[in-house]
Amino acid sequence: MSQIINSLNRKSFYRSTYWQKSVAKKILVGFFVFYLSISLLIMGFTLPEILQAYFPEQEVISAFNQNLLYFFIFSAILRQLFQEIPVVNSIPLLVLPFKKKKIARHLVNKSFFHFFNFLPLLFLVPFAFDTVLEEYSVGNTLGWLINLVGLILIDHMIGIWLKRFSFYKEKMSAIISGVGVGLFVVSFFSIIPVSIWIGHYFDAVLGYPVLAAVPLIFIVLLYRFNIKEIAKGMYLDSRLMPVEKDVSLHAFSWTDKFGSIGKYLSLELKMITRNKRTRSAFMSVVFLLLYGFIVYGNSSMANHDVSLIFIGILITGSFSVSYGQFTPAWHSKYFPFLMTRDFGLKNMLNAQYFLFIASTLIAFIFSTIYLIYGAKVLFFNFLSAIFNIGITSHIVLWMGSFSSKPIDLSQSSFFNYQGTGASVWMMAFVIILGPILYFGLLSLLLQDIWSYLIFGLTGIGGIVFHESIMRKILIRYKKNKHRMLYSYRQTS
Amino acid sequence: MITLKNAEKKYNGNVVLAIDNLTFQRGEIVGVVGNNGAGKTTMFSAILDLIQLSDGYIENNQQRVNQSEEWKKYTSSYLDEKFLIDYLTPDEYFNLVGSLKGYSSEDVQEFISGFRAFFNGEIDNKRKYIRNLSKGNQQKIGIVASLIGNPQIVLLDEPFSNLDPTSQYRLRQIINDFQQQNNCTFLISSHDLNHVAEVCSRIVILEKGKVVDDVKTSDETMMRLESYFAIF
Repeated sequence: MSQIINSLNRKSFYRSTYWQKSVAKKILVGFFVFYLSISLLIMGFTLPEILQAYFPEQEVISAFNQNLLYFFIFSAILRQLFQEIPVVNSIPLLVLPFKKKKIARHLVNKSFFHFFNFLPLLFLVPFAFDTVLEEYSVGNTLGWLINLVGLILIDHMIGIWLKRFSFYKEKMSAIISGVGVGLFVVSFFSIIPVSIWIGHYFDAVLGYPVLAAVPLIFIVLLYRFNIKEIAKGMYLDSRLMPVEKDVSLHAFSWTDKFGSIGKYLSLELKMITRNKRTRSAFMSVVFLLLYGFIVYGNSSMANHDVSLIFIGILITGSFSVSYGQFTPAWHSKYFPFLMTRDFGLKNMLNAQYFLFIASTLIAFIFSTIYLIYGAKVLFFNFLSAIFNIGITSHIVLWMGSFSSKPIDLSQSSFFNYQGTGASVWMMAFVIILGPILYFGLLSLLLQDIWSYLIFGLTGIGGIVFHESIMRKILIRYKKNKHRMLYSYRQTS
Repeated sequence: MITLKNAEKKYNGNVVLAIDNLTFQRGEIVGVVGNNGAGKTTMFSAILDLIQLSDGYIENNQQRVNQSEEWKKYTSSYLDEKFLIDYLTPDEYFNLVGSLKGYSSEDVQEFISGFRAFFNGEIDNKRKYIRNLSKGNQQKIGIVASLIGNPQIVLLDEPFSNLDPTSQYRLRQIINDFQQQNNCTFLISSHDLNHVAEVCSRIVILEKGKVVDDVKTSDETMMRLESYFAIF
């Protein structure tokens, strides 16, 4: 019987939609994973220097041990947010002659193969064999490493156990994050030095590697406990199965004030707030907004006009770039409805444009906090905002008419490349690189002040000719209507 | 009201729709029947300009559907759940459809209240998104939404499927009453011969994209349908 389950398992892996992606996307994802792995590996080797720099009066290994608490807090929160135990996939097995415990064990076994369990090894193993082994014997080092892996797996098992409460997912995440942050605070400010206790424990393990057996005992207990609990909950109406509850509705009634585009605005906002995919896309808007903190401090980037424009376009255009690029595809599921009703495509596009302007302005206002990096930064953000409103927003709308990939709003966008066809890559290319090349060319040919002026005026030009540009865009949408309808019918 | 002239649709050389001449008059309730692949949905999609014809044309009120968009003002339809915006609540969806027809939300609510029996208390005041409702309830929402705003032409693709028996009979009544009050045209496709024979005033049988029979409903219609579709 377990052979059948294993074969199903293999098939679900090889036949998952992931492998049906185009080569380009596989390469991209592969590159990303490779980059992450290499970074972590390098971190494993350079960790001693980093620790030395931040904790000069401590020994490297005990400094490492004393910071482990923070690592576990971080990983527990991440697990709560991203790790799933796919009980749903077992529904078809429930009516077949399998014991529930067997299905449950299969689920728990499968859950171990999660990249959260492998990623830490990438820097723990080099650190163990490069640094720890220098001071301790092989046996002691191995004991220490096994203990760490054990704790990671305990973290994993507890994470899975907490998933039982996915019914209260939001509350649970809040509680875990609260407890985590609380632990961090009391320990960081040495009110209750939890991290030092953990550090002492790991120091002790280095002395007495037999202690590594302690977490292993816990793992076995937790493993059995989890299997029992999951088997107990294998009913369609149990809390292990995901359910959508009645919702608290926010109707965005203030959009009524915006006249004819009001109802489209409210539809757009409802879509963003009520769907998994759009909500997570919105997270990347937040990330792009905060991008400045990473790069502005870096003097080599913050001194070039061209890179300032690049950052400015990303920050002020964060919404257009990450959300707007999928613009009609967000509506792909009910596109026939939009096309058979007297829907007023024009108003819909105008509402879209309005959102681009509003988001650019909000992002610009937000970006005034980057004033701490100097007035020049703000000036460039201002230039970029004008350019985004006048040029980028129009280009995003125009390119939207080429969109050909439907998007399933109910899927999370974490590692989700659905909807990213060639046109989307083209668009990201045009939206981000276009302005940079344009500005680069201007600053090559002209004096600084003139290049700023012409760049800004280009944006203003786009705003002035807004009406006629929108007319052109509208014609494109009408022309491409049947092609869009056809490609949205194809499920990817 | 609607005329199909030499309307032909091919996919990779396969003809899926080939109608020489077909006209639907105002006030008719037309049942379109045929086995899977007969071209019912293709015909509806073409009338709604959701697909482009390979040849010929379709006129709605003397205007070609792919040239003018006037028809959208008086034609409404529910083909499948792609006509629902599933992250809205039923009320929000009705209000949106109503607002496209210039109705206030009070008007919409008043209109919807006439369908209370049809909804059977499963939709009113539910703080649930459409995506979380059952298929049958989703279908009811789509059908009722297609009646908002005094349409002159209503296209329904398999409206009786997914509905429980009582709702099927209620829907028959709704279509009849609505047609009599508004003198509008209904185009209904269905696999349920009983309902079609009962509710429709005219029946069109499609086979492989062609019209093979086109009759006014009478007492013999059911027999005629059965003799056409039965395998014995």
